[in-house]
Amino acid sequence: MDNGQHTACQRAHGLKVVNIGLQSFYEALIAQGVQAVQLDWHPPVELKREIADLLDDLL
Amino acid sequence: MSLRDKIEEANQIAVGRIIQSDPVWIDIREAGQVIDGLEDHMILHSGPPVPYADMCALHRRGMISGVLFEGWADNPEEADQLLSGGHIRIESALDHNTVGAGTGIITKSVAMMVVEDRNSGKRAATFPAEGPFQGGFCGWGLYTPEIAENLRMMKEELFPPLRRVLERTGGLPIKPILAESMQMGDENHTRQTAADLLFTHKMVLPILEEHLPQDILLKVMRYIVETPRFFHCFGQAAARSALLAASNIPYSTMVTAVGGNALEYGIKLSGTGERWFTAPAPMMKGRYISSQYTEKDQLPWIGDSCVVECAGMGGLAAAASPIVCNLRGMMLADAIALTREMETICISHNPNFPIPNLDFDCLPVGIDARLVLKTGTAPEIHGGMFNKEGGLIGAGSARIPMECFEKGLLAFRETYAQ
Amino acid sequence: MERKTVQYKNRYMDSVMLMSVSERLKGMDGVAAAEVVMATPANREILTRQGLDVPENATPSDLLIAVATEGSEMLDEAFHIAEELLNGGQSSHRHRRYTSLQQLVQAETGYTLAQISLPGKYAFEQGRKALELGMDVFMFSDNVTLEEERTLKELGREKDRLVMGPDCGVGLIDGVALAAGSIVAPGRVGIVGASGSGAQEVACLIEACGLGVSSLIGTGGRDLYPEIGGITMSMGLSRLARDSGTDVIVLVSKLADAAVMEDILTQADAAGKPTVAVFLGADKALFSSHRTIGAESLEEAALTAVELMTGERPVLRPFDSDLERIARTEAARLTSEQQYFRGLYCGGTFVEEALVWFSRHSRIPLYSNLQTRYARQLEDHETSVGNCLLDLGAEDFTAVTPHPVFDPAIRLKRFERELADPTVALISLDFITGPSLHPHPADAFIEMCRRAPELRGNAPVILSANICGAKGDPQNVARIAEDLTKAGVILTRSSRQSAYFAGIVMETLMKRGTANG
Repeated sequence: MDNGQHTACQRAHGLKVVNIGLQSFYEALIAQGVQAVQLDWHPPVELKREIADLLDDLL
Repeated sequence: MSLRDKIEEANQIAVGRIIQSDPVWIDIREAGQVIDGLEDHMILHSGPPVPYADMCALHRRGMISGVLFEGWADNPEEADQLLSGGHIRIESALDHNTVGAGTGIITKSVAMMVVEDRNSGKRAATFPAEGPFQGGFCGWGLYTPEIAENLRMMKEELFPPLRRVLERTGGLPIKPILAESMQMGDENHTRQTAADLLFTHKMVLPILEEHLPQDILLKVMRYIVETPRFFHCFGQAAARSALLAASNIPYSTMVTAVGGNALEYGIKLSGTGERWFTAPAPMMKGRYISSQYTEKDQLPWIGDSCVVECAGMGGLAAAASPIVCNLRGMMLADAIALTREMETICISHNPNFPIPNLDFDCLPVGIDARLVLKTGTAPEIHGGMFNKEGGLIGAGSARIPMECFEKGLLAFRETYAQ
Repeated sequence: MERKTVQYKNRYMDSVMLMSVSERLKGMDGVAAAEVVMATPANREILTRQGLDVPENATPSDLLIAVATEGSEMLDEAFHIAEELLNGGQSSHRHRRYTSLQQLVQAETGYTLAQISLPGKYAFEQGRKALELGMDVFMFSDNVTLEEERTLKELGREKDRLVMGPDCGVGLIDGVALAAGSIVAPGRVGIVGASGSGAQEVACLIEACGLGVSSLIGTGGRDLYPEIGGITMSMGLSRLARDSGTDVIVLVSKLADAAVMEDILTQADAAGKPTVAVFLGADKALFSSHRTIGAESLEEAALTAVELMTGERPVLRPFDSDLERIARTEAARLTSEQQYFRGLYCGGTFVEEALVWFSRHSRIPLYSNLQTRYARQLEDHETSVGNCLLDLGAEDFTAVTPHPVFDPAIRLKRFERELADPTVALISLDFITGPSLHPHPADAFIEMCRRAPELRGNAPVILSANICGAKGDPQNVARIAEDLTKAGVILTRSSRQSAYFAGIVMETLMKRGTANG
């Protein structure tokens, strides 16, 4: 860790962050001592037309 | 009531049959006596129906073994002729009240473990572990004089004393064993170490109380204690009997059977009865036991053992068994995530299985085909990887093909849409 | 001053956990000192020196939590938090994976910001959900439609929540560097910026002058479009105006819609705090009827802000006069073969600044991969022509590869090609640091510099660079400066000065009669 980094970590991190996307952004938050969570996000399922219709009827 | 409401109601009934099931090991009988519709000159196999001519080498070998075992032919060539000539009826194990683990070769004379779901009265029979022959006749479709002798020995020497114990005690409840073993690191598909121990613990005294001659006693105990994965068939039978009770419930979209025959993978839904919905069998990804093996050596999925997944164990219970996951390079958090993922495609949770690693949340149960399609998440199935010659070359997992669920629900709608 | 030390016998905690619990406690208001350590002799020393108690019987296998606070209430609170962390109050959540925001807030409370970097087509939905759940949104994602941006910002305004983005690369909120931002020293200058690298340079220059930043609120590149109307800049301005920790406000943007700029400046007039604004390329006349002080460059904005804070114009090195001297000397070394200037920048705003600077102070014709009034657009962005200013963070390049601040490969390849071109007189680079950026942004370039003779067949070349980074960034800015200097790269103090330097070089070449357009 470099000189100024320690100072930065001593600041009050009232911020609580949910990171949605790049893992590296999440890791950068953790490295700064921030309370953060990485959302385990997945793209929504692209359904075939036929199946989307089917589910409209059944679900 | 809308179609949707009818489906929801039916699914609750179906999953209730699993949750309320009370499987008990009650007997050991010849397959022909306990499997409905299993007759003379008939052989069962794993996965959806497939004719002899199309079968993978493993199944063909198993068919020949079945013929030889029953004495319907004297040598492999004759056996092959019988089979090719259509003189042997060939059917799916999952079209009867049994399960075909591995190749699932079952004929009328083989002794089977019988489990009854006391809640519904449904009985399921499964092939017992073959002692020193891991896989052996049923699992790998092998038939040698040693295997034949072992099957004979089991049937004539080991099983009668065990039958007497069952008669005397009224049977061994399986559910308490499953429930406790789930809290001890088992998922009851690839890992049932705790269940083995609990089983043995409960059987020792009743067996001793039979006052068997020393040599028989040793044989019986040796069989129970030294056979790897001894309990496997009981978990299978418990799952199968519950799923039989949950089958044929009109309007239910719950998955009641799954299995592969190396060519195709098939599923059944409760509301569409005994219809199979098939797709090309998937390849498993996992670890090989030796670096000499690669995917090109590998056979696509063969076996019905994922019946336990349909009953809310195995892959769905990954969180209960992080060790199994660790063997595939996953950590505890991944194992938990897997079960959480399966929650998104299940109808309910099983109050019989609270799991420490989930902070005592209960395992999900009852795979709903609609949710599978909606979330794009298919159940993950664990199993052994076989090569084309029938040897075990590793262990891994795959996902049940989405196509099976698509076909199933399209057929479902055809059946029920006004 | 209250103090207390609690000893946990035979309780091990790994160093990462120790540090994070320590950090948490130290960051609490009213905590004067906090140490969470294993009781090794060295650590006992540290505690004692800070006036914290050390139990006599403490051994290296014991954990000590020692805290000094301004009041006993604070002390209890600190230990409460410490105990919670120790007992894994967080750990089951560490294992828990959430697949949706809904799931997250049902299980845990207190999330105040969603930092979104999903592909554009999915970003809107998550942004909307986050706003509905009462969070501020920081959106790094681009390829979000203008319509979606407007919808999000209007929703945000309704809920008094900030929407920082889309296409927002930089932020500093509550002392936390967001996305590609830098960990700038805390202070009392607040910044609202529609230009990521621009706002970042302003922040870093303020730090270089010895002050610090309270917040850096990014707005995203289109906030000042007429369709959006500056919603986030307006809200950011408002927050900083009300913030007791901010004394001076700086607004940063490229030239934007006239009506929107006018509106923003009118709001700034009412802020009640001294405000500086740089709208790169704007006419001075824009500011004539406003209290906000207009700056012509990012550097000028920073220096003016510092002057407003301290009452004195700050002095930064190197001086323009030093660079003028160096420029003329270096240019004199070049032969008639060297004619062209190539700027290879990661920071889009630095390109903008150079374009504007050249259009104002120089007659040399310019090319760029960008579509801009200040230069002709290259036919092929992969092939430089004439005096060329490249934004390597632009869509041309980043459609198929990560932004150069994360992955230097593409820019490095381009640098090699420019370096190998004997008609190139001057190559100008920028290096940006921050906790999520490439850990060694300059190393590969320095290696390449050493190969210059081999690549160029001994033809001379001038290399210059500006470093945009904070002392708190993990990349060690001082070391980068040292290494670049050793490799013969001339360092400027800002992107304006890089443009200034390039200007002098090109002017010198032109006077020589050898520079062509």
